[in-house]
Amino acid sequence: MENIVVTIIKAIITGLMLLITVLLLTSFTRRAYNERKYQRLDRLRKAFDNKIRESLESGTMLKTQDEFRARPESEAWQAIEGVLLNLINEDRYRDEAYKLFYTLGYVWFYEKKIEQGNIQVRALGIDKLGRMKSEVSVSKLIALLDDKNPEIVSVVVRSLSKIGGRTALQAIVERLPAILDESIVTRKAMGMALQPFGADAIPYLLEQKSGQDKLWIISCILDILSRLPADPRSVRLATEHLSSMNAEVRSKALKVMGRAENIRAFQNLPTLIRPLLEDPVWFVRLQAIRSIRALGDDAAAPLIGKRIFDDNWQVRNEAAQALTVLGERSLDIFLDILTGTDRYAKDSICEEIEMTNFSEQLIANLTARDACVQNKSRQVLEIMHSLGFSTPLRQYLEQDGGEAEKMIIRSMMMVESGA
Amino acid sequence: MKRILTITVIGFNYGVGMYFGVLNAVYSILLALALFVIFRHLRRIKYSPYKEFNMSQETPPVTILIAMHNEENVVLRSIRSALATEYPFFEVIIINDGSTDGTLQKVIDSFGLKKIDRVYRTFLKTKPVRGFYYSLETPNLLVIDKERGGKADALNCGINVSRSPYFCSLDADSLLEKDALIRVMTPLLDSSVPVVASGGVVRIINGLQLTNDITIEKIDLPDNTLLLFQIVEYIRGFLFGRVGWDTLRSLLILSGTFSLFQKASVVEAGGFMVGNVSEDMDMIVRLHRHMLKKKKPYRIRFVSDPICWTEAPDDLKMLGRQRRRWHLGLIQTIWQNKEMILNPQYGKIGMGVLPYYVIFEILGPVIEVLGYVFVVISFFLGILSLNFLLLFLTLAIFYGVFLSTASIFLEELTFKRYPKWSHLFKLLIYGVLENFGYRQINSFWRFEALIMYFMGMRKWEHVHKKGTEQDEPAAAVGTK
Repeated sequence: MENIVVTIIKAIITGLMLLITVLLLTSFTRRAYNERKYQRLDRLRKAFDNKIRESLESGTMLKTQDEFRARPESEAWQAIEGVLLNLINEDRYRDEAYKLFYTLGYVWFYEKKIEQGNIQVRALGIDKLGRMKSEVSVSKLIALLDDKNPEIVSVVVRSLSKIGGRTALQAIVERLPAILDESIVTRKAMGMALQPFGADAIPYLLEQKSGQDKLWIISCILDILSRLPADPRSVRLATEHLSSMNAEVRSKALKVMGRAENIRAFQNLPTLIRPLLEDPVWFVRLQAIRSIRALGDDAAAPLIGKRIFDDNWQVRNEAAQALTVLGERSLDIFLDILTGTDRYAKDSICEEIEMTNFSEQLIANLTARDACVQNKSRQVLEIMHSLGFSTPLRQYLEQDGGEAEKMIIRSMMMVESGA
Repeated sequence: MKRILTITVIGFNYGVGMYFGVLNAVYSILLALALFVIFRHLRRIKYSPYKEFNMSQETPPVTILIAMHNEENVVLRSIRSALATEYPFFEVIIINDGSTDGTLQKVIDSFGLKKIDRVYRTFLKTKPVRGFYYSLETPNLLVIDKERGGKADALNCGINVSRSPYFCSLDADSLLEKDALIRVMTPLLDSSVPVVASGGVVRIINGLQLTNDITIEKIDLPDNTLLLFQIVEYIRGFLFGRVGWDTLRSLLILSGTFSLFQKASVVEAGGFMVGNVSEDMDMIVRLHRHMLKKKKPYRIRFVSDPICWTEAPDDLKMLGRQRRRWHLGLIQTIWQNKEMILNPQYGKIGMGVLPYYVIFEILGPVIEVLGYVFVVISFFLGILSLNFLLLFLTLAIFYGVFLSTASIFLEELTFKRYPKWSHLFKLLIYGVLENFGYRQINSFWRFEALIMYFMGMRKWEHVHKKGTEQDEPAAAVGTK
């Protein structure tokens, strides 16, 4: 028995010694090989960068392009690919770089890669075709949108968005419900992928929406629309869904509407949005405040003021922030809230006044010409002081500032402490 | 009597043989998985969307939480490094956990902060807050000054104040690489199953040359032997240990030095446990427990490319403190969650991973120490085969060398953060040398921790940062 154990241990030790030796040798040879390889690659990249730019500048590329042909995956091939990938991102060389990718065989090479079995090799090929903006590969890439592997679909969507064009866009949007339904690509990833298409994507998304009865897909479409440039068609769709039974849909619709500040045709948007400040779902109310703030709807200030008393803290904070942005126009609302009984609402307003440095404006207002502004600002500061939010006043007294304001502050603080 | 003793000793020897056999088999499986997964991950990085996430306005905001206690020598570096992070929307919250040195004043002066009044609302109970400091000039930086309550308490305080759906805990002596946050966030954005926590790689900062205090200019290895051992150890621990466990979806530890959490899940799980000396492991185990109990789908991920550099202890006294604390934290965490062990409700975490941690991680040092005792007993009983003992020791050493070499090989193949030939040789040599003394002393510290635990000495042993002036009296809890 012991002999068997000893033999086994000896065998394992021998195996380990062999493995260690192999690992060491591989580490050394790999490092030595890579060091030389990357030095050569750097040199080649520099040389090809100069040559290709010269040929492109002088218009002699047709004559010289054979100089840039290399064996696939050789160092020269990799160096030229790196140079062209840089050039394709420069506006003036974009078209030529794309043509070179095609004529030098890169497109063909990576199109072959995407037909292979290994997922990573395929995904890398798809990614490369996208980065090369290979329009001729669009049909092959579109076919891969129906692939069962989520990784592949995700990379295809991104690559198609880099290539751009109506065919690619239409193909993505047509499959949007299926892709999202099967959780193949996350909504965020899809939204980002469609961003480069800009406003072109809108009609296709609207078309997709029209045949759609799943509310969550409508919500996704609205979500994607909210990240694209503001467009009357998107806003129209959003207004149609403001009264949706689904809160997500209402919230996304509000988000789309919040981007419509420069669309004149929709001057009445604030009036449509205001009722949603009373929505039963908190994140709809939150989005309503954000959209109203984005649209600069000053008239909604009293309604936002009511949200300072909201049950949800995120809504309360958002409302407080929105009011400080409105500045002096909010003074009346501040006073209403600060003279009320809701301690949380009072604290939130005071915090936001300090965080946004609006307290400095209030102190400056203490000597304002407008007696009304002066009086209201003083009242706000007095209440803040009584609630324990006195730090801005104390700091003002300690620093170099207007003596007139300092005197008023001292008297305020004395009255308060006397009281 | 002698016969019974002899049988016991022989039985124990075979038991130890089998124990190490199983343990090494687990390590080998983890290594094989790590090799496979890291290769796959490296290929995936080439077409990973993380750069697109970095530019997107829709990437969820993150709060970076840095708990500080007497860190005046490193505080500015860590804040500047956190603020230099490349990420769409993030805020940095510094929690000054009752520092008695100039930490707070240094931050206030350097960033021109002003005291502001803020109401402290608590989801998670913490020690009282003394003040908030803020400046519109750096609107994504907020400093909280609070009474000393320990790292867990400080992190809970940061969670209470944070407004983002995710937070990243970062140690005060750490340097975050610029793209580390977006890289560690990528699994959360890319996954169709909610990822409640995600961790990145921690490397040792000692030896690095920095410009502007936050940009790595040159990576070099330190001269200190202990630090070199730790560098090999960190490479092994992160590159094959964590990657392997992540592949098995069985991660129990993410380093508190640099981890990202979904705030809602952490709050639901009760926040960080005050009183546990290893708050990071405790949080991960309780997240598993909470999600499995609620039968919610979730993932806890480890990602091998985001990197955070941190300071390591450079003398035996401090290293001993750190290792005892780690082991104590491990025992505390497992004990506090003991009802999960062998409980089918908790799936493979309860049925496999926790029992593994009890048998091989907590009891490992005991078996090792008992092994030495039984060698002596075997010698007196006349049943010690010197050849067999030497053979067994040779096997153990070679296996250790193999694991270290394989880890350095992984590093060489992948991230290659140590570029010089001399670095490679040094790391390989120290991978061999650590088997002669360093590993044994580590086992001894872990054994000490076990004894301390049973004797009720469950205290946080403070580890000095470079240049820290005074030793803090050991408290029941503490900030690293």
